[in-house]
Order: sequence, then structure tokens, then C-alpha cells
Amino acid sequence: MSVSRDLLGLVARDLTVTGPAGPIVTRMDLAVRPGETVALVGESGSGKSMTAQAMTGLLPRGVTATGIVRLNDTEVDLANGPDVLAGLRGKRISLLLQNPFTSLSPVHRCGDQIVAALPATLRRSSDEIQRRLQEVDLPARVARQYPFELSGGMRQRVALAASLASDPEVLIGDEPTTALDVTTQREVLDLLARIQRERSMALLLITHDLGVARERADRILVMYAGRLMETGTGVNVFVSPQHPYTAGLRNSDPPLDRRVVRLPAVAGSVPRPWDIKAGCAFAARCDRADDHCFAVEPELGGVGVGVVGVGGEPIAQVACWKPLATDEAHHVEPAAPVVDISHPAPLVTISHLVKQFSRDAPPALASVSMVIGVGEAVGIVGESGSGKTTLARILIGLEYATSGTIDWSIAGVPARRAQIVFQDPTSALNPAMAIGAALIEALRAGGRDSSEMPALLDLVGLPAEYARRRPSSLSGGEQQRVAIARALAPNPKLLICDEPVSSLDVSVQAQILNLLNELVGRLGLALLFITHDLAVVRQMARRVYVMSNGEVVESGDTEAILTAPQHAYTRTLFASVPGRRAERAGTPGEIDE
Amino acid sequence: MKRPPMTPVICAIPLAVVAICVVGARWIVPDATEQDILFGVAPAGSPGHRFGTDQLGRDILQLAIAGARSAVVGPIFIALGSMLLGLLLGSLAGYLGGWVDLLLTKYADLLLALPTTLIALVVAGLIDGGYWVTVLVLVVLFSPTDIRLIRGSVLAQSSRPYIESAKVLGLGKSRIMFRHILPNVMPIALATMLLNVAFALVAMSSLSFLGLGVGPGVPDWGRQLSDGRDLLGRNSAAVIVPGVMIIATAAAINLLGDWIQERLEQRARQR
Repeated sequence: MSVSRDLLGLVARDLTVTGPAGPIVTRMDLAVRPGETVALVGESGSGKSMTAQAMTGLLPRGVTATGIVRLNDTEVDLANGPDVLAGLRGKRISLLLQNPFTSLSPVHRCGDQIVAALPATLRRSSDEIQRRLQEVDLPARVARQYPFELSGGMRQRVALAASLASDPEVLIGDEPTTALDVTTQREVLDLLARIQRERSMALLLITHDLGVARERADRILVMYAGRLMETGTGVNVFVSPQHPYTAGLRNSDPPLDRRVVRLPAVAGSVPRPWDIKAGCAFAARCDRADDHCFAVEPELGGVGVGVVGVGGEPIAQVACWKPLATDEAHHVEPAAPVVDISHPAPLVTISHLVKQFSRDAPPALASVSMVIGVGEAVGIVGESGSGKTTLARILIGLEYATSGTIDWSIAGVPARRAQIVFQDPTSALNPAMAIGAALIEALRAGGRDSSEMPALLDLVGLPAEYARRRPSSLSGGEQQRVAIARALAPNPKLLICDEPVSSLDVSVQAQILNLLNELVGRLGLALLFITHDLAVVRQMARRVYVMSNGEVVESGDTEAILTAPQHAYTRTLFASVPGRRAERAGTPGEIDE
Repeated sequence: MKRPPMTPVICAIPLAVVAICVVGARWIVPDATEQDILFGVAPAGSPGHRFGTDQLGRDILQLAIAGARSAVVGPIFIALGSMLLGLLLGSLAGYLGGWVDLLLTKYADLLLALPTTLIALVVAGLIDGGYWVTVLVLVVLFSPTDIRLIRGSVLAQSSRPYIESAKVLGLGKSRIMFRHILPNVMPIALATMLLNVAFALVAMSSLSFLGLGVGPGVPDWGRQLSDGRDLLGRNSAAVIVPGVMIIATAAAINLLGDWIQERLEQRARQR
């Protein structure tokens, strides 16, 4: 190797992205070497996707970038406009996006979409397209099919083959597996790792999923409000984080191997990068922050520069004035004591529920039976298409069952039996209605007095003055709190939560899970918690039903099922959870064959 | 400091001028319709008549100022009326569904299949009702697009989780309609109404150009255009002035409507 290793791969220096409201990304430095996987981790609004778009010249209108991007021997100055990247993007740097359904053209056959990206010399070869499909483990027939004829996982493979067609030196994956089910996600990530190794390609993996980053990346960069907070290997970043934000992020992520009393949540929500005027971006949410933190922004490296790797390159860096010492960082939340499962009287008994949406399709629910006891926390775990949401919708009266019965042990209006909290809090609240008015309406629906509204806001941890505000002025976590308050207003006996934290940031997710656990305990509510996330269900439910293809494949005590899953499907689901293997092995970046 | 957006400012200028003309014409140009047949056609630039006069000796500019009233007021009522119909029938169709929806959509489709201007011509000509009958006919003819728009918006809102939450709370149909769906349909309805004013302005002017709508002697841009046709050689301003008024007003309303609609879409995307 004649060129210094430092110069190889994709390097960005002093990358700054500015939008109409102000800076989105501030002075980012990053490097991805050939054959290396670097994960860029951050919550929504951290600027991780904008970083990728800046490096590929795909920024939206009104957003500009400055800084240097270098790929091996080619160096471009972004200040000269996005066109300087035209020679690199799609040829030497490829982008793999989150949603394969929108990133592939619906009117072209998959084969043609891969051919279009092939180098001109290879375009005429029919063997080439077979070879490319083979590389991503797809059968040859896919070349003649349209994207809508394929499953999500297969579509993402086609998108991957198209991204790889130009034989890029760098592949940037922007949440490439976020839209996929956990088992499919694992397959695609394994495939990515194999191809990367075979091609010795540099891979920049952008993700919000700490487990994915920890399991798949050689190095991890943690972004927050458009800034790099900490960099290092998976062990450095997640086992002994130096930055309080990274530690908070790690602690907020519910553990899969035990149930904790309370998730250590980070207070508040992610700020917008341009709202930060001075000091450390995390200071407002940090319990270690002092006046200095609020006044002066720490530089990456700053205090406590960590280990120095081969070639004098720092392996671990942190942008913090008061980084955590190793022993502080090793904080492990203790497991909650296992309590005896009592057997409460049934609140609702579901027997042989069948739902058939159309005569040709397989049933969405095929004879599902379930019992939810009074005051009991029950979980339903399953992937998309398992029928878990359909079941909830029938239970709440938004859908009719084709056959089967639902028996409630309590009388009264349906509104006072069960209420529901949806996944996306933004669309669950009427944008034209003030928070207070929405809650009063819900209180009246349950026959309660409107004077109880401030108490209801207080119950979900929101200040009373929020009553006058509109949903759009609230953060996602606050909106979900309002949605929970509205669901609780009619005093229901059962609260159904359908993936209530899936669209929230990790640090906010923990707050909502804690709130729900607390409310269920305090109000004596029964909870039906629907999720695809095994770690989350462990924190929320005492009893769990595992659903697949409209059937309950396994049910029982959560602890028992998650300790020793019996059904093959549950075991697959369990094995696919990202980060689990890394956790067990204690080393990051180890990829199973 | 935030710069005021360009589009609404630019559009506001001609619209403000037109508004002043509509409200204040009787004081600004009290003698607009005064004829001076002996004087006859005077070319633009004649003393006392900057844009000249028509064959009846009426001042072109004064006539255009006075004509703003009939050109703008009718279209505003048309847009209002057709949107009221649209809101009423469209929300019924979208929210109730079933045979009500079927009936109303078929009715809207039927109306859409008719050639608007031709029907207006025939009806206004047959019953010879003048200005307000024409307005009424156009209200009916403009309503199907509004019905379909509102029906679509109501349907789009109905499947959103906050409407489902309202159903789970056991709220009544009319409460869901008026408290939850309609407030979220209103912005798009208002923006469309504004755009409809521009279309109606052109439609009304076309009808009066063809001699329908306003009675003879009443100042109106469309009629002024039609009267000025024969004067093109002698005083082209007789055609240019009302023509520019129609184009400028319609364009300003259109741009403003587009701008508002764009802003609404942006806001919707941010949600």
C-alpha cells in the first residue's frame, strides 16, 4: 500500500450543513476506511441523515453544505455546490435508503433498475444481472419482476443490488433495515456484512438503533443536535461511555435479558440544532452540567482523549467537559424482583376470533383466543402481518370480527371499557384542537367533569398551561403523553397500546414506558401492550402472547418465555434482536456466519 | 429579521386597488356612465380622458373603475355559494358513505360532464334573469368540483388515528364531523374558494362579453371588452384597460390562492 492508510476511504472534514432556520450539522469530521463499518448513531433531528445527504450532494432545497469530502485520491470542496459530487455519487459512493418501496421505481422491472446502474461496459451482458442478483441471494426470476411483487426484504435486496451495481468504494446505508421486520433485518444486515467483506468496501451505517450499531460496526459515532458527541468502538461507546448523553442513550434502551424497576430515562427531548446558541448541546438535559458547560461548547477530543490506536489515530474521542469515569459509566440498572403471577379474574375473554379481510387472502386472524385479567399487564409480540393490530382494532370496536366472541366481564358503555393509544402520536391528535379541549371532550365522553382536566395533564407529567397549546407545538414524547391522557380520561378498565413508543426517540421512549408502567400500577388498569420489540415487552408485560400469521404460537409468563422460548418462531425472533449477540460475546462488530 | 414573503405582497397591491374600486366607485367616479354621444370616440391621451372614450363618449378609465363592482362581487358570491354547497354535500357524502355518497358523487359527476359556460349561456338566456340569476347558475355549475374536493378531504381525515380515537371515545357522528373533521378541511376549502373567485371572474366576464349577465348600461369589464371590440383601431385602450383589469385581478387571486395552498401543504407535511 503506497498511499498512507489515513488517506484511504471516505473522509469528511469540517462538514457543516445549514438549513433555512440555521445550522443542522456543525463541523463534523468522519472517516470510513476500506473494509470498515462505521455506524453514525443519533436520535431524530441529530443530523445523521443530513450528513449522508451532504456527502452525496442530495441535500433538499434550501439546505447548503460546506466542508471537504475526500474519497481516496479525489478531494472536493462542498462550498462549490453539490455538483462537485456528481462524479462520485452513484458511481464511487452509493446510497441505500430506508424505504425500498419508494427508492425503487414502481414502473420498471427490478432487472432494468439494476442494469441502469451498471457500468456501461457491463450493461449488455445478461450473465452480469444474474451474477448481481446472486450476490444479494435473490433468484434469477426477480429480474423480470416489479418491486410490488416482492416482499420488503427482497425489495431491499434489489435496492442493495442496484446500489452495488456501480461497484462503489463506499456504501452509505441510511437506516437501511429500519422498515424491515426484525428477522428480515438480520438477514439483510448479514448480507451487507458479507458483501462488504468480499468487496472490501467502506460502509457507513446510519441508524437510530443502538443494537444494530453495536453489533455491526467497527466504530461508532454518536451524534446529537448536529454535533459529534462521542466516537469509539462498540465497547468503548456502549460498555464504558464517556459522554453522559451516550450513557443516557444506552441506559434508556430497554435491556432484553431482564426486567428493570424503572428505565433510567433522559429528561426532556432532543433540541433542534439551530436552537442551541452556546455551550454544550446536551447541557440542558445533563445532570452533570455546570455553568461552564452552558457557556462554552466542548470540542471533540477535549478532556480525556481515550486510547490511541494504530497510526496515532485516536480510537475514542468525546466532546464533554465532564466525561464519565469508567466506574461511573459501568452503571447497570438492577433487575426487578420476579413477583408471583397472581391469576386475576378475567376482564375480557376472547374466543376463537377470526378475521377475514377478503376471500382470497389468508385470514388476518385465524382463531385467536386470549384472556386479559382485571388489572393485568399483557403483551402481544409479533412482526408485521401477524395480526396483532387487527386484534386490537376488533377489541376496541374499530373493526368487526368475521367470527368468534369477545366477552367483557363488566357492563357499561364501550368507551369506559377500553381505550387505545396509537403508534404515531402526531396523527393521533386533532391538529385543529387545543390539548385542553381534546382532554375535556374525552372526560365528558366518560361521564366525568371537565374540571378534572388539569389533574389529567398532571397525571401524565405535563404542566397545566399545556391545555391551551396545539399538538403541533409539542414534541413527539409530549404528544404521546397527551394521547395517553386522552385514553385515560373516560376511566377505562383496559388500556390498549399499539406500538406506542416505536416512533419515538430512544431517550423519550424510556420516559413513556416508565409513565405507562407507573399509571397501570397506580390506576389498577389492565394493559394490552402490542409491540414487535421483545425488550420492550419484557419491561411492560407480565404475560405475553407471541403471534405469527394470525395465530398465537406461544403464550405464558413473560419471564418464562423470554428465558426459554419454546416455539421455533419465538426463538428466531429472539435470536434476531440486534445487539443481543454482541452483548453476549462482549465484543462489538463480531458477525456471525 | 424575517423578510415578508414576496408573493402575497405583490398580489395584495392589485387586489387592494380593485377592492377600493368595488367599495368606493360611486364616490371616485360618480359620473362613470355619463354618455356624450356627440363627443364620440376619443383616442387615448385626449385631454380629460387619459385612456380615451368609447363610442358613447364614456371615459374608459372611469368605466373600468365602476365596472370592478359587477366583475368582482358576483364571483365572490359564486365561490362562497359553491363552497357552501361543496361543504354541505361533500361532507355528507364523505362521512356518511353508502348510498348518500353514491347519489351525491353521481350528481357531481353529471354536473361535471356538462359544458359550464354553455349551460350558463342557455339558462341565463332562456329565463333572462340578468346578473343574479347568472350568479346562481354558476354557483350550481361550480359546485361539483368543490363537492368532490371536500368529499376527498373528509375521507382522508376520516381514516386518521385522531378520528378513530374520537370514535373509540364514543362521540356522536355530528360531533366528529363538526369538531374534528371540518376544522381540518376548512383551510383547504378556503384556499380553493379563493382560486374559484378567479375562475368565476373569468366566467362572469366571458358571459357579459357575450351579452349575458349584466344589463346594458351597467359598467362591467366583460361588457366593456365586448363594446370595445369595434374600437380597436380608433381607441385600443377601450379593450386593453378592461382586459388588463381582468387578467391582473384573476392572476393576483390565483397566485395568492396557490401560495396559500402551498403553505398549507407545507404545514401538513411538517405534521
